[in-house]
Amino acid sequence: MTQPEAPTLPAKERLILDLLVAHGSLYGLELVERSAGALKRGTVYVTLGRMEAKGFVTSEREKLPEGAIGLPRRHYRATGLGERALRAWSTLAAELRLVVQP
Amino acid sequence: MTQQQGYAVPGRALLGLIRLVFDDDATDLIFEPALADLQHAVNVAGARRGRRLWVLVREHAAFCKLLVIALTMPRAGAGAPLTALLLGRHSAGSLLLLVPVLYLGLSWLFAGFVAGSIVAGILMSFAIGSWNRRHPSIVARARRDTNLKDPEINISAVPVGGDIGGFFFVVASSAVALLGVPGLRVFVISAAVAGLLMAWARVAWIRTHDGPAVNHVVGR
Repeated sequence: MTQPEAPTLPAKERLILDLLVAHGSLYGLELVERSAGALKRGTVYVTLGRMEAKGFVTSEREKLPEGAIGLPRRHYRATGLGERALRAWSTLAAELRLVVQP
Repeated sequence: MTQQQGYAVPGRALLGLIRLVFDDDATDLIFEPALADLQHAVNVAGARRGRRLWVLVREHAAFCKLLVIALTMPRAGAGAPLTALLLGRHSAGSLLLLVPVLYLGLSWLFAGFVAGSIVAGILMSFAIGSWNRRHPSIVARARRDTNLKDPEINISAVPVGGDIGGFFFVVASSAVALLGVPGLRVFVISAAVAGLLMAWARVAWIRTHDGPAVNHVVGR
């Protein structure tokens, strides 16, 4: 029997989850600004799209006021699965640090 | 979002182009949020012309980078990698649009090169077409009274014997291959040496026999 493939959690996705867990809900540009240069405007949306496909984040369009023009921004928040993945990664990283530096 | 008075909303034309190329999921999840944030950043920049222009350039450069990444990365939410996306949906038309976009997305330094290539290519195509109308090419064709197929593209009919243009073409294309793919150097140099040896052997054989063989394809 084959095991279902475990979702991966690369560094940028961990950072995004960290920021979303800490701040609740953020727009793409806010994530870029709060990452202190670790996330770029040109790549953050691709990463967010991939994370949404994995089920780590969820997003909603903002509600525009009456008569507003332009596209509604999308704000993101971490899902339960995303938070669990982040916790599991943090635990694993702590365990590995203990193994490397007992 | 409230928009600054007197300015058009940026990104509308871009979104139209994106919808032509990408699927709905990629448009909704990647490009619309990016353009919404672009519009927000431009709006926050205010009405000061210099500041607004700088934000417009910066945000569009970031958007070009996003476009390149979405096109080239499989499973980026764009539905398919570049080749499948382009060739599967809009074929050559998309390539014509997207190749310059790719260059511009990689670096604004390519902008002059891309614009120059497009203009030079269009001018050259008109010049070649005009020349060909006044000096039509004579292409060797198979006799119609045989059952053989018409060769149509007949490489052996291209007059390269003693043609310095052909020589330059070979040297230049070899140089491009050597510069572009260093791993081919051994192959290209070996092929050149082998070709020279074969040419020398053929000339020697023709001199000791009854002259050059007749090219039956060109001679038809």
